[in-house]
Amino acid sequence: MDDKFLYLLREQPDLEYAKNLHQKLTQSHSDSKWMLNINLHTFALNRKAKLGWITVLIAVGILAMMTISPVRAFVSSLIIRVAGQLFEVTEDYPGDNYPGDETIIEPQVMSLSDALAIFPHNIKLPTNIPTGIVMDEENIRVYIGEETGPFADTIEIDWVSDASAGFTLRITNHDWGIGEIVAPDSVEEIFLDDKHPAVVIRGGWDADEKAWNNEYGNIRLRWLVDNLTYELTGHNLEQFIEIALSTLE
Amino acid sequence: MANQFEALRTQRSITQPVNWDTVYTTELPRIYNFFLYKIGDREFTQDLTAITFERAWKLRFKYCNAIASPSTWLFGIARNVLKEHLRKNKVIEQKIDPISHSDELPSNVDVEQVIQQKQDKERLRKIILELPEREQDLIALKYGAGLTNRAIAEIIELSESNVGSILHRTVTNLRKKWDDSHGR
Repeated sequence: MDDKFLYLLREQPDLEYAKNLHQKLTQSHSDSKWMLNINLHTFALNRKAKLGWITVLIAVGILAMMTISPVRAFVSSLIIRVAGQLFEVTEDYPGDNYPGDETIIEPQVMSLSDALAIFPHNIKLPTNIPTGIVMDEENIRVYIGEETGPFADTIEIDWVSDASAGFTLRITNHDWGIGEIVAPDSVEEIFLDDKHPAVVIRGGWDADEKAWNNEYGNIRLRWLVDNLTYELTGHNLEQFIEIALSTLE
Repeated sequence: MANQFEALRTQRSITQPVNWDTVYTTELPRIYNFFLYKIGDREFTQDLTAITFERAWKLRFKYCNAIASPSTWLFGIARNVLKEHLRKNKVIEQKIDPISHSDELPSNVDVEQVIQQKQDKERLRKIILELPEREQDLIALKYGAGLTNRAIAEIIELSESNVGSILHRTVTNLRKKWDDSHGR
């Protein structure tokens, strides 16, 4: 197949431009975090000093993996930070690794005006909602009080439509710091604008298959505004980005 | 997925430092040409390339080479930068830059040939712009950035064979339009 003509538009970046950009990058980003990273790399390569400890850790790890399921999950997982939020990445289905008594936490359901009156934080409702999708204003779910445990200070709002799929917005001051357990390649960082990174989470854990399924469940877009975490759940990422942008205005 | 997970495990015990200067040297022309093929304007191309590298350098301490290669990671950022740019500038006048001062030619160069080349570029730009968004991305990544089908597949989350077949179809289509535009 003759495709040489398609290279016609190619060109080399201007040398001065390339040099200036490199200089700018080198000067602007030699910060402490980067230095810390270099130090960590150096430390990681210092094999001699760590050899003894690694041997002991590997032995303990193998024993633990063979006997204790939660420990096995911990050892085979990785903590990553995406858009300022922590995720625990693992292939192990977490439902088997963290068994325990399940508690169902019920929200208070009320109108939007009542919900906004009792919710202890100022929230920014999105203004850019696609035509034909309306807020279910009488059924806002609010979690407040100690009995709501990890859901405390959370509000959930549904937008519904007769013609197309709706979506849910969850706003919380809940500290997600310990990290949601996700599978490799299921989270991606995007930027809503220059200052606001966000996380896209695709899929979910399939309890039947005991594995993560990227096609299973919904797409979620999560971002931070004024120390509150906003999360949209639904199916249309492009739509979500527009909606999220309207909370930043 | 199993292989990726093995890679993650490896990452826990062996942390390979990335030589970001090498990444810059290797990836700058790729990222630049990706934008050039998508936008067609040198000024925007330089701006978007700079934003991409600025953002990457700012976030590079978060980069994990077990999850993606530096190139894949950079192109992920570049595609986000492009999306933001397109959102902010809903209507972009796509154009090929005129011959600038830096392109001014020595007297021994065939002017007709240069004009012909410029017209060819405009023609090619026009037929690429008629492609659907995904096909435009593939052409920009393949012929602008010079990436392999495997690398493209990682970036746009399609299978390698899918990338290959879409590219084949697209190039055949472009070839026909290219020949037609030359009256062949």
